[in-house]
Amino acid sequence: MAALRVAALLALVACVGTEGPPPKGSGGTLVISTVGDPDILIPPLTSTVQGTQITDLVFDRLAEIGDSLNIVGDVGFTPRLSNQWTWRRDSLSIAFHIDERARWHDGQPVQAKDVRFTFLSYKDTALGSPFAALITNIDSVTTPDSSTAVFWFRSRTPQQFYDAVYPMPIMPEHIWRDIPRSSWRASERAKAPVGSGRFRFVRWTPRQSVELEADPLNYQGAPKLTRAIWSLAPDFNTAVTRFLSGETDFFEGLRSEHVPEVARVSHLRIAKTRGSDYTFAQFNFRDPSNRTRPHSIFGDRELRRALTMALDRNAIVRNVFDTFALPALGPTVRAYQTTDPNLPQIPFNLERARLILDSLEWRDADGDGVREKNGRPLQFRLAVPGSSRARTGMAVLLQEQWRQAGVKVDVEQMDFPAFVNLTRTRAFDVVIGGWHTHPSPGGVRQTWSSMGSRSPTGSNYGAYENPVFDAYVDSALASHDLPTRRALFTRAYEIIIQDAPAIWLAELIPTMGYHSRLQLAPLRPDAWWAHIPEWWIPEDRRLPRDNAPLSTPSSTPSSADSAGRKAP
Amino acid sequence: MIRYVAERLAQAAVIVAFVAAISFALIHLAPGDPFSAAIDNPSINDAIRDRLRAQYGFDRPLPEQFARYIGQLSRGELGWSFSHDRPVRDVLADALPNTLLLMSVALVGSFTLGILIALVQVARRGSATDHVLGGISLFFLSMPDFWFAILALLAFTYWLPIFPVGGAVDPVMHEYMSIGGRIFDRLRHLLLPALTLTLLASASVARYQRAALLDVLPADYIRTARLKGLTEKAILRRHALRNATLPIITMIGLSFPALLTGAVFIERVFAWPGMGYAVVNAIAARDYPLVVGAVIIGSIMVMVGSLLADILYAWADPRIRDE
Amino acid sequence: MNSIAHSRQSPLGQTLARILERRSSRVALGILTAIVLVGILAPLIAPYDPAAQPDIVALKELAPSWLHPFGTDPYSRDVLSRVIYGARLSLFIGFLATLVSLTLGVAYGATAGYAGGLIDSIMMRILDAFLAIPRLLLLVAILAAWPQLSVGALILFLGLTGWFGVSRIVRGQVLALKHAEFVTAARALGASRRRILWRHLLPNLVSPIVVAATIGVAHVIVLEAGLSYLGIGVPQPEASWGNIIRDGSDQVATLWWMSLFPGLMMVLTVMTLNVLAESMRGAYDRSST
Repeated sequence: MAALRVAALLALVACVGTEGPPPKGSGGTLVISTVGDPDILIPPLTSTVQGTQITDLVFDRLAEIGDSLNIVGDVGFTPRLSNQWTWRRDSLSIAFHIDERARWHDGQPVQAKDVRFTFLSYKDTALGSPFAALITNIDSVTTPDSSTAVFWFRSRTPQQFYDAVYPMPIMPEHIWRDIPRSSWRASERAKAPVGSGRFRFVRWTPRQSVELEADPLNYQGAPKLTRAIWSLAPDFNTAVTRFLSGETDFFEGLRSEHVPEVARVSHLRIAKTRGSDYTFAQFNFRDPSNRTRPHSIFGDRELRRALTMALDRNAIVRNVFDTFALPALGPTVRAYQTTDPNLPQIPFNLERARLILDSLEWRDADGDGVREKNGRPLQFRLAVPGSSRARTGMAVLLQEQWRQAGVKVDVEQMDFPAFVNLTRTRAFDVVIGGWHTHPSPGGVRQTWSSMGSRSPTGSNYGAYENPVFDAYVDSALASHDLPTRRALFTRAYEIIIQDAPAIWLAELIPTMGYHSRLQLAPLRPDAWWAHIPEWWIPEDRRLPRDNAPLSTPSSTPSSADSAGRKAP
Repeated sequence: MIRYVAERLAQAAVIVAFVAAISFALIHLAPGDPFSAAIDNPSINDAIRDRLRAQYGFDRPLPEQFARYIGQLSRGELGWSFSHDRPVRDVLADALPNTLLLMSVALVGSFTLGILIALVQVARRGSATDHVLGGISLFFLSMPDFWFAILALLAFTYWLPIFPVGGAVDPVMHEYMSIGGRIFDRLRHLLLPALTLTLLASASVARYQRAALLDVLPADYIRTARLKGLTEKAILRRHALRNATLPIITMIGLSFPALLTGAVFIERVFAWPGMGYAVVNAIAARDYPLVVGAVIIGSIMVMVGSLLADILYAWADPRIRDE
Repeated sequence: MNSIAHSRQSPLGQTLARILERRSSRVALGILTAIVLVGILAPLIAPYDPAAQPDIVALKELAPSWLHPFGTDPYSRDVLSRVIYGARLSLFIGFLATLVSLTLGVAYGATAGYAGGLIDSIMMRILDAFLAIPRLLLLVAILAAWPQLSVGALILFLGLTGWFGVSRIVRGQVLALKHAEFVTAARALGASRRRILWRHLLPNLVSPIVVAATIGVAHVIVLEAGLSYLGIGVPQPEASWGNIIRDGSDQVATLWWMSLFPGLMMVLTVMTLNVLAESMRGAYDRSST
């Protein structure tokens, strides 16, 4: 049934942009509505969706994953910075040949040393890239000559090609080598990136817009659009209104309540893709004020299970997303071939939750509606980013449902950077978080494994650690045979679901609105923005903004100082 | 007159020092000391951390920290904004002109409108017009700024979409406009927030001004004028209004805090990139240095406003001017 | 002495009588009484529990109907019940915060006015500094530093930032009254300072204080709503008027009932308070001339 649903969605996606024979043409300015600013504009450090979108267009990988999102071997992968690669016979290394035509946006050639530099940077704990957990199978990168980069692997795995290319867009060594990696995050250059992609960076005016424009001399050919602009709205409502009023062309977070409005306006369209995001309420296993101590409430597995049991997750998902999301299964999404859609869940049972809390000696002795144990109330903070209407909504629902079980929750709203900060410093009780998954289910190593917990830069912020779960994930990723892989992942998911390190809330079905003047290319399910270079706007549908000229039409700037900010 | 102005200036300086002391106390009374919390923040690099340490001297005794703080302030240093990754001074310097623009348009607008309404009311005092206008201004006076702003936004960007949704300029196209186009773009964005603030502020002006006019109306010289055969309108225009100038100046001085408060909410609702907007975002971003910086600058603004009004008053009032 | 005290016995009573001569203030008083009653009797009047989410799927975001005259919010809570409880909380906060600021303001102003001289001018300079800080910004600075404050603390801070104006009025009145005939007379008759303060000055302060208090309550109600709207006032799931508007603020167009009804209630309350304050001031002015 679930598989059918995914297929239906894929079919829906396939329709996009293929209404009739694709007309030829180019030009236009794409304006995307989005809520909030990106955090930083270099691939190893960005943790916002805007940052990912922009860096994906400004930077290139060695090879790009195909629309089928196959991750086994190199099937489907298309050349990018590397126009040709060869596997060594024992499969323990792959040699990537760099396209000689590839140039950085400042005019310097892209070379093998850039690839090696990128790998070393991602691995360096001084930089603290959260993606370091995804490249642990890569032992080293060597550069036999200036146009060949050889990746050496620790072990043969089905997805070692994917591991080599997907997590790491290539960064220019000559721009970054003089800056200590610990200072990248604060560097001005991280706000004005120099990449090699088909779009180059123009300006970032905080709280207003980020602008990219076509790189006319790009080795892959100039993109069809002249420019792509992210219009940064201060809040969700402004972002939607700007889209609905025609001020912008594209908005990725439509909610069910907008559907009638979009239907009423003849020039607006809706597109859905397969879900690759899930949200969850994550418990902190460690005391936020002293991380050497366990958390005074959430260290107890039975208590976490009771808290899960007290929530009617189906109703919560329906309330917040209507039909635009499904209840999440666990730290995964249904789109993975390795995910069993019938994973057993902790069922909603308020009565049982109450009984368990009673038996754990959390009892409401003073009759104020809140349980206590040893004089300490069952009370904690629940942090949510205020920019996400879905998550703030879920917070209020959780608060009330937990109140029914005698648990007091204080909801704390903050803006997204402050929220990211809170989770990264692990100074929370419970957060409503969300992960955008990669095409590989191996991402759980970054987000839920012991490695992700122990590494200071790992993304397992709640510090859930279970070696059995880790072992099953590792064996699953090492297995070459799909049924075995799936069985092993299922076992791993069952363990983590029963341990309840988080309450799995919703798996989103991304719903995008776009202006009919946009000629879209297929939307890749993990990243709808991947094919933006192929989008364009027909001449007769253009607005004044579509015809603005390039900022530097002649040639690319020559010196490295273009890394400084251009905007006033 | 000079002595009076000098006295007021000295007073103002003392007040600024006091405001600084209050904000220093706030910073240090706050739980978890927002500045030292920033020290543990992993997204802050060593260079900034060192700068913060040098700037505030966290490890030093409190009096020394206070002395440093005052020293920084007197040089115009307001600290480091974490959410903008720039000095607070620069963030506020960018935002201040927008707030001043909004406030000054609203100031001129609300006084013009308010005085006009008051004149109409006084000219027809006791009539139905007077009562209706009085009721309307009472209604506007009682309306929370943010609520009216929400209604205005809803009405003119959603139901009747003739104004842009928010911001000071078109976020996308402003860079590509001609000079004339840019000016028009700014005006288009300014109009609705400025109008909203104007309407809200004119209510209290109208009520105050009506009372002031009625106060001077029975005065002897107006009776004389009436005896001279001047019409009611001429009396209002020539005598009463002139004698109500001083209350107008007083009112201008008093209106700054309300205008600033209104601006905070209106900037929030219309995403107008001024100081109020910066402060509201800073709250959500837990960017305490920016919040405190905005409070200090806001207080200075209000004070300068009332100082100017006082000087104007002194200049307009012969009793003080000729002293 | 007796006769002096007698004629000044109840300025408040006199003022009240004069207020009630005006129709507009009678109406205002009636409406205000009704709102206060609604607030006090909220648990009896409200049709639903204001925090309850009876059915988050079927009953959310319902437009006004007979069952839910003010509609429901995105969490299926009944907006009418929340507005009623909002009246309770907003008025409660308004009254208590004003009580705090009146106490402080009267004490401070009376001390300064009565002491006079250097003490008075120092106290007044301090007051000027406080008055120079816009109240909203001061509150924002405080509330941003202490996130997740309880309602009690919110009341305290609203009160602590609201006494500056009152104390200036009180000081002015005390200064004026200090040299008034009846005080001079009382002093000549050998009354102690304290007695003069309590028996003679304070009763004469009552009218201006009541006016200031009425406006003060209106201010606090608007401020609290504004702070809640900004997300630093009353926390979820408590209902205050500002909070309800905030809950609907990102869908104002579709959930118009969530902004309209609490907003109207607020305007009505503040308007009646303003009308009363104005007519009291008028009555007081007339009685003192």
